[in-house]
Formats: sequence, C-alpha cells, structure tokens
Amino acid sequence: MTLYRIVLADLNPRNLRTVLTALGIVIGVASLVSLLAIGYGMRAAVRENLEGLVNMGFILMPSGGTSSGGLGLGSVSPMGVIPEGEIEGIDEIYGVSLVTPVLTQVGFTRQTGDSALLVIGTPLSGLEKGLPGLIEGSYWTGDREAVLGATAAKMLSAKPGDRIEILKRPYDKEGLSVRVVGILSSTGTFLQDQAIYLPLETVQEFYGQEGVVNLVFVRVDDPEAAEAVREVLVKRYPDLMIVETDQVMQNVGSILGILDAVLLGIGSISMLIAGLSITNSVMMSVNEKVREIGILKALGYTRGEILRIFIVEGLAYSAVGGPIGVAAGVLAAKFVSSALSVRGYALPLEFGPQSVVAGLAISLAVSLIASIPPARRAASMRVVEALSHE
Amino acid sequence: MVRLVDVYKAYRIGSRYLVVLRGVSLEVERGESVAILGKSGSGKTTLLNIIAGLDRPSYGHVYVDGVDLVYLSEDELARFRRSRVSFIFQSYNLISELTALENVMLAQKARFGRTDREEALRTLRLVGLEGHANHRPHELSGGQQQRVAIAMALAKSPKLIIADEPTGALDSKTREQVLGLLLDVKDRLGTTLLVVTHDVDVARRMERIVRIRDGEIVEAGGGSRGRGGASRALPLLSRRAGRAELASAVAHATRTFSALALATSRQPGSGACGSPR
Ligand SMILES: Nc1ncnc2c1ncn2[C@@H]1O[C@H](COP(=O)(O)OP(=O)(O)OP(=O)(O)O)[C@@H](O)[C@H]1O
Ligand SMILES: [Mg+2]
Repeated sequence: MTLYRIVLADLNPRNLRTVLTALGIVIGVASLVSLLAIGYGMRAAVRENLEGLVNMGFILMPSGGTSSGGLGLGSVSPMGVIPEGEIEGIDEIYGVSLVTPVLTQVGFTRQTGDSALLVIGTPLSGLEKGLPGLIEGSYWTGDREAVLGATAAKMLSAKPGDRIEILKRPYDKEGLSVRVVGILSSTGTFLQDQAIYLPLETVQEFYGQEGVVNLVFVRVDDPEAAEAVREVLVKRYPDLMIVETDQVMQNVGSILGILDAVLLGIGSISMLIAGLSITNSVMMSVNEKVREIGILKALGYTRGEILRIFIVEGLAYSAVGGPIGVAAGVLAAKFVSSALSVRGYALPLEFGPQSVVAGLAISLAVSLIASIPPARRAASMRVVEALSHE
Repeated sequence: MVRLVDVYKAYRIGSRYLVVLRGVSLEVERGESVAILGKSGSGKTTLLNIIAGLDRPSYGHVYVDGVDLVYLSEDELARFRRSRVSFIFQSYNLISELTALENVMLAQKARFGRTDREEALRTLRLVGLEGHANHRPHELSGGQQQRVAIAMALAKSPKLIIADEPTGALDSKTREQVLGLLLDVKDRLGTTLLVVTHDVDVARRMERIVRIRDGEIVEAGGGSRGRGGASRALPLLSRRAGRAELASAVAHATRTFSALALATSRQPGSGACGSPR
C-alpha cells in the first residue's frame, strides 16, 4: 500500500486535475447507465404494449391510415377507418378465437389538462378476454359507463361510482359525461394503463364515427391454423393492411435496434472521452514523478511493479468515478422518466443489475486500457535519466 | 566483491561522441571502504552508476559478486539492485509523498517483498531519527534527509553500499555524522563501501583512495589495476577525425573506438559484450 500512496496521494479532491478526470468517468458512466436504463425501458414498454394488445394473431388496419408502416401504432391516427359491416364473419373463420373491433381515439379530461388519455371503444368481450381483469368495481352493463386503466384511474383519482367528463380537445367546455364502474388491474404497459375503456358504440357516437372502427384484433389460439387464417383474410380484405403479430414485433425490433445503436454510440463516445482524460492525467502524473520513478528503479523495483503503480492510479479514477456515475445515471434516468410522466407519458425504467455491472465493468476496463500507455512509459524509463531529471 | 575490467562509457552528443570512461579497471575487496576522488566531470558518477547496475558500460565487464552485470537483462538488473546494492545519492533520495518511516518501508518492500514496521523503526533509531518517523522529507533538514536515505540503504541489508557524494549538500558537522554512520555500518556489518567525493577530507576517512581524472584511474592505492595517464585519446572526437586518429593509435585507443562504435547502438546491454582479452 505504501507503494501506491506515491500516486494515490495525488488523488485528493483538492486537486483540480483529479476532480476533472474523475468527473469525466462519472459523466461517461452516468450517460451509459441512464441510456441503458432508458433504452431497456423503451424496449420493454413498446414490446409489452404490443404483446398485451395483440397476443398471437393478426391486426387489420386501414392501409391509408398508418404513416409509420407496419409499426402498428397507426391505430392512434384518426385517418382511415373500417366499416363494421365489412368485418362480420371473421369470427367464423376456422382457427379464430376472438375478434375485437376497436375504435381508438385521443381524449382529455379537466383533471388531466394537457395530458392525453387513450379512449378505447371496444365490445365487452374484448375487455374481458383481452386484458388482465378488474381490481375494483365491475364491467359495464350499459352505455356511458367506463372502465379505467390503472394509471388513468390514478391520474383522475377516480373510484367506481365517480363521474368523469371526456373532452375531445383540452379545455373544451363540453364533453361526454360517463360513470366509472370499474378499474382494471395494471398491465404494466402504459398504453393500456393510461386508457379509458368505453363501449364501442359510445365512442363511435361521441367522436361522430358511427359504424366504423380503426383496428381489428384477430386472435388465433392455434399456431397451426395461423397461416390458413391469414390466407382467408388476405383474400377477403385486399384493401386492408394485415399485419402479423410477429411482423409487428420484428419492425419494432429493428427500430429498437437503431435506438440501441444510437445509445451505444453516445455511450461509447463519452467513455472514449473519459478514457482519454485518464490517459492524459496518468501521463501528467508520470511526467511529474520521473524522479520518484528513478528512485524506485534504483531501489530495485522491476518494470512490472512500476507499471502496476500507474495502472492502479488509472483504476482509482474509475473506482471513485464509476459508482458515482452509476448513481448519477440512475438519477438522470429517473428524472427523464418523471419529466415524461408529467407530460402524460409513462416510461418504465429498467435498472437491471446488468446495467450497474456493465457501467462499473466498462469504466474499469476503460481506465485499465487508458492507463497502460503512460504506465508503460513510466516502466520503460532509463534509471539514470530518470534520476537526473530536475 | 567488485571487479571492473577495461570499462568504457561513451555518450553520443549530436554526431559526436564523448568518451567519459576510458578503460577503467578496478578491484574492491569485500568489506573494504574505498573513496573515488576526482574533479567535477571526471566520470565519478558515471562509474558508480555502472557498478550499481543503474547504467551499462559501452564496453568492458563489471563483476559484482562474480556476476557480470553486462549480461543481465533489465529485470535481472533490477533484481540485482534490489538484493545486492544500496545506492545513496547526493540529495533527493526520498519520495516526497511518503514519511521517513514509509520511505524506509519502501526499501524493505523492494528488498523482501514485504514491510516490517518495527524493523523500519529500529533502522530509523540506528540513524537517530526515531522521533521523526512520521515527518515528510520537506519537514526534515538536509542532514536528516540524508540519514533517512542511509536508513533506506540499511533496510535492504546490502553487501555493497554505493554513495555518490553523500555529504555534498551538508555542513561539516552533519557531514561528520553521516560519514560516521556509514563507517560504523561498514565496521559492524562488514559491508563494502564505495564513496564518491571531491572532498579530500571525506576521502581520507576511507581505507583506500582511487583517483580518477578524465575518465581514467590515475592512482588506485592498494591493489588497483588502474592505467597511467599516458596516451590519452582526445576526449571529444568527431567520428571521422576519431577514426583517422584511432587507426594509428595504440590498443588503448582501439578500445576507445570500440566504445564509440558500440555507443552508437544505444540498445542497452547489446553494446557491452566486447571480447575479453
Ligand atoms: N547522459 C549523459 N549524456 C551526455 N553526457 C553525459 C551524460 N552523463 C554525463 N555526461 C558527461 O560525462 C562527464 C562525466 O560526468 P559525471 O557525472 O560522471 O561526472 P562527475 O565526476 O560525477 O562530476 P561531478 O563531480 O560534477 O558530479 C561529464 O562531462 C558529463 O557532462
Ligand atoms: Mg557526479
């Protein structure tokens, strides 16, 4: 330990260079950890939402109605509808276990101001069979009765029996007054949790879209039958877009892949900068300690031992900066997530042990690699020259 | 204990060569105390560095305890320094970040791979600094710093102590103290002592005086094999002129030429394996 005190004595918080270098690592690790958490969170959110909504099977949507290709989130778009009459009989196709025609719209309430809620009109069967069930109250028995997603209930602080008013635009004077009858248990996915579920006809009437829907979920329980179902659907609905659940997941996957690459790019650039600042710091420390290196060599310390001293110095930066960076990254991600939820979006975060371990391991690896060049310089100094250094 | 055979050292300065040691041969017995006396620039430090394994000769052989340092690798040389010799410089021997005690422990660690606090304190007591164990170098006087350096040297329990003007920065009173300490160690432990100085009073305290002038030993007292001062090559030779002159020179100068040629290959170790006669 005495040996390492030679370099570690420099690493006190009064030394600006030390602080800045450690800060480099803190920032690098923090951005890495927060980006990982946010990235994982986004991936989890998107994936769960889609999986929860679609199960296995197909989604039918108007082909003009989606701007984002096969992503399937075109459901929110007001453009493009499917007349209800067209989809009758799908439930009779062999292999189809559930057909849920849905009209999704965006709505607002006085309580939530600017924050949008998803208003989902669906037959009762879709609600009962497609979602995890009630935590409070009951399903609706008539018009103008609403079942709230868990987040929506929290945002509105509503209980069964309360009345709420759904507005088409924020701060509209008049809207649709409905009675809350039930609250769904959380699905863990924000699109579903932050939604108000109403009978299909109620939504059609309020938004002036009688007799039409904008999404049809077709659930197939038997994987063997899926291909046959698809063929029938394609033949019957040449004008509709038919998206397989798998295909949706693939498209989402490729978008998330791009997201990952971007996050990784930002993360590695910040680690690269942190690494360079460590190289620089250790190099400066080596240059300041030429005389000491000479004394150590004269005492008989070998090249390996001297190499180790300066590598320890580099590692010390990440030993201090790494954990602080992890903590800062967690805080930053939480801040981003809560800033989003104020605006009405829920972003689940995932701080798996893997992102903490990755943050620490990468910072250690970076500082190890970064300190090797200056450490080698120290180790290979000629004794006599080092000793005669001023 | 120490035997130098025909040691040359040349430094390259631009396109020219400065021959600093020119055929130094010297023998030092075990337990002997020897002063190396010479004017500034005569090559004393260069000679000591070579004996201590801190530097390599351009030509010749350096035997310490029967081992020819010339053939050792960098790491073997480091292990030689840790186990056989202690080196004391004129000043700046200590690591300024560490206390006196820690400096001594650093030397222990180099030698034995571990530290022994009690033993380190005993060593400091030996040099009269047990009360300053936790002082850092800048909190010590020059003489005290030099005594810590001696404690570091002793902590390695070396067979050979090499000191390069250990009293140069000290006043006459502390000089006596430091010198007395070194001689006492030599007497009690039978350590071989090699002290470079340009101070005749210091030199007289040693059993034998070796005088060096312009890189040659001119007077070696006792059993030395130093050469006389005759037939000296020019200290500074241009390569071309050097060659012309050396072509007609005596064997001595031929070796100087070897030194020059070998100094061009700056790779340590590779230059020194000249054929022994
Ligand atoms: N690394 C080097 N490169 C070039 N020349 C050097 C080098 N080291 C020493 N010299 C030269 O070698 C000569 C002898 O130097 P050395 O240090 O051995 O002398 P010294 O006898 O110890 O002198 P002093 O009493 O001043 O310490 C000097 O002329 C010096 O300039
Ligand atoms: Mg000198």
